[in-house]
Amino acid sequence: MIRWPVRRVAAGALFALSLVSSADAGAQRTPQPPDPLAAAFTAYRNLEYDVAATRLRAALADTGAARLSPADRSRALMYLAATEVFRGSRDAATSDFQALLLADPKYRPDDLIFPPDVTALFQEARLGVRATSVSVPPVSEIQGQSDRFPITVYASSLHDIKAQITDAFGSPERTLHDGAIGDSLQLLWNGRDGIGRLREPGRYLLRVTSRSPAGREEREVEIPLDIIRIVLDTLPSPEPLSPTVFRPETETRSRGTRPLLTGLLTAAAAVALPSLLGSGEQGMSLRYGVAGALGVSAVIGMATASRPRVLRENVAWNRKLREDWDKEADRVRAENDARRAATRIRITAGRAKIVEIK
Amino acid sequence: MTRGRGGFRPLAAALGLATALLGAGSLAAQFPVSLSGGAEITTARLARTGALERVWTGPVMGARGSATFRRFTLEGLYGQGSLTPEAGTLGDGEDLVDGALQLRFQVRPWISVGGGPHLRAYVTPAGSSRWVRFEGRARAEGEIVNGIAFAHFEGWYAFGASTNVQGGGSGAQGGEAGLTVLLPRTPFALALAYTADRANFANGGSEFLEGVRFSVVFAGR
Repeated sequence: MIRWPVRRVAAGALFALSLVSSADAGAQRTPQPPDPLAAAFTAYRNLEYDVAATRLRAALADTGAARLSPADRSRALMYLAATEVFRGSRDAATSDFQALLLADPKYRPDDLIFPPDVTALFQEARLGVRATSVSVPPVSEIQGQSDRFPITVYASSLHDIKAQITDAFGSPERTLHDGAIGDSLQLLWNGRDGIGRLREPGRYLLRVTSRSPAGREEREVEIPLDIIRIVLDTLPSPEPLSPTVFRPETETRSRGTRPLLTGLLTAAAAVALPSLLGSGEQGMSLRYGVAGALGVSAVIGMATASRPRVLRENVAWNRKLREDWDKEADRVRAENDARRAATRIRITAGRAKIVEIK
Repeated sequence: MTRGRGGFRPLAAALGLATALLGAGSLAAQFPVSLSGGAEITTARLARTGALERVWTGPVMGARGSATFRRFTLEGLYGQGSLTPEAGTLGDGEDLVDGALQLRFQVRPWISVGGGPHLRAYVTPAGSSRWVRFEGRARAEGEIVNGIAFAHFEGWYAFGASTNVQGGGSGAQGGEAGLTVLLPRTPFALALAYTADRANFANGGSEFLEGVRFSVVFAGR
C-alpha cells in the first residue's frame, strides 16, 4: 500500500519533467496551438486522477472539429490507462490499452515517463490484441524490374497475418506474405503480375488480415491503391510515300530509228575503219562479224524499241527512296518500342480502412 | 625470247586484276568509286609496210580495269601475245606487248573524251621496237537494245609518237567499233569489238595493227 503513493509521486515528477522539457523546446519553436489535453495532464500531474480521467474521457469523446488527432488520441488513451492503473482499475486500464493498440498498433509507452506497473500492464494487454497498421508511400512509381512499392506493417503483438494485393472486388491478385509478424515487417511489391508485366491500370486493394492463433480472421487493414499507367507519347509512323515522289522506272520509245541508226552506223564504222585510217589494207574479214553482230543488234533494238525500257537511274533513285523510308520507319519503330518499354505505373495509396471481422 | 612462257603472262595479269578488283570492292563500298575490269582475247593481225610488206597474226590476251569517280574514269589496259608470220612472210615471229593508261571525262552520257600514254613493243630475237605515244581519245556510246546492248565507237590520235626504229615515228591514229551486251541479273557483260591502229614511220613505212577483241567485263560497284 505504501508503494503506490511513492510511485504516483515519481510518475507525477517524471511527467512534470517531460512537460517542462517539452515546454522549453516549444518556446524556441514557432507558437503551437493549445494542447487539447493540457487540462487533463495538469490534473494528472497534480495527482487528481479522477479529474484527469474525466477530462481525458471527455476529450476522447469529442467529435467534429474538436476531435482529437490520432496522435493525441493515443496520448489520451495512454494517460487514461495510466490513470486507471493509479486509480486501481486494472480492467478499465486494460480496456484502454486495448483500444489504444487497436487504434495504433505500433504504439509503445515510454519507460522514462510511465512506471513499470503501467508498462507491464500495457505489455500484458498487448498480448491479447492482434492488430496491424500499414504504412505505404502516398505516391510511388514503378518502371524498372528492380523498382518496388514498399509496404511496412506494424503489429501490436506477435501473430499471423496475410498480406495480399486484390482487385477492386477483393479477388486475390498477389499474396505478399502469409505468416507470422513480430514487431514490424517490410514487404515489397514489384507492381507486376505473375509473368512480369506491369499491372493494368485500375483500382486495387492492399489487404493485411490479422489472424488468431486458431487461424480465424479477426481484423483487416485495407488500403486502396489506384494504379495509372504513364506512357510516353510515341512517334507517328512516317507518311507512306506518295506515288508522285517516284520517278518513272520505264519509258517507251515511239520509234526505233535511233537504235537502228546507232547500230548501223557503228557497224559501218567497223567495216570502213581500215579505209578511214588510210592504211591501204583490206582489213581482216573478222570485222564483218563484228559489223554483223552490230547490225543484228540494231534490228533487234528497232524491233523491241516499243517495249518499255528500264531506266536504271530512276530505278536506283526509287529504290533509295524506299530504303530511306524503310530505315526511317525502322527507326521510329525502334524508338517507339523503347518508349513503350519505358512505360511506368504510378501507385497512389488511399486512406487506410480498418475492418473488424466478426 | 620464250614464247611459251610469255603466253601465261596475260592470264596472270588478268587474274591479278580480277583479284585487285575484288579486293578493292570493300574499299569502294566506302567511297563513291565504281570499279570495273575484265579479261580479253584479241585475234590480232599486224601488217608492216615499207620496202616490203609483211604480215603477222596471233592471239593477244590481256586485261583492263577502270575506276570511275563521278565523271572521271581512269583506265588501264595491258595485253601480250605472240604473233607468227603469215604464210609467205619472211622473218621470225614477234611478241607483242601493249599497255596504256588513260583518263577520260564524261562530257555527256553518250560521249567521253580523254587521253594518256600508250606504250607498245614488238620483241624479236634480233631486238625490240618500241612505240611511245601520247594519245587523245574520244568515245561515243549508244544503246541499241533496251537495257541490254550498247554500241560504241572510239577514235584516237597520237599527239606525240616516237619509236626507236625506222627513223622514228611520224604519227599514229586508230579506232574501234564494238558491241557490249549486258548479261541479265549478273554484274558481267560480254563485249565484241573491232580495233585498228595505224602508225607511220619517219622513213615512209607504216604499221597497221588490227584485231577483233572478245572481252568479259565485270562491272562491280
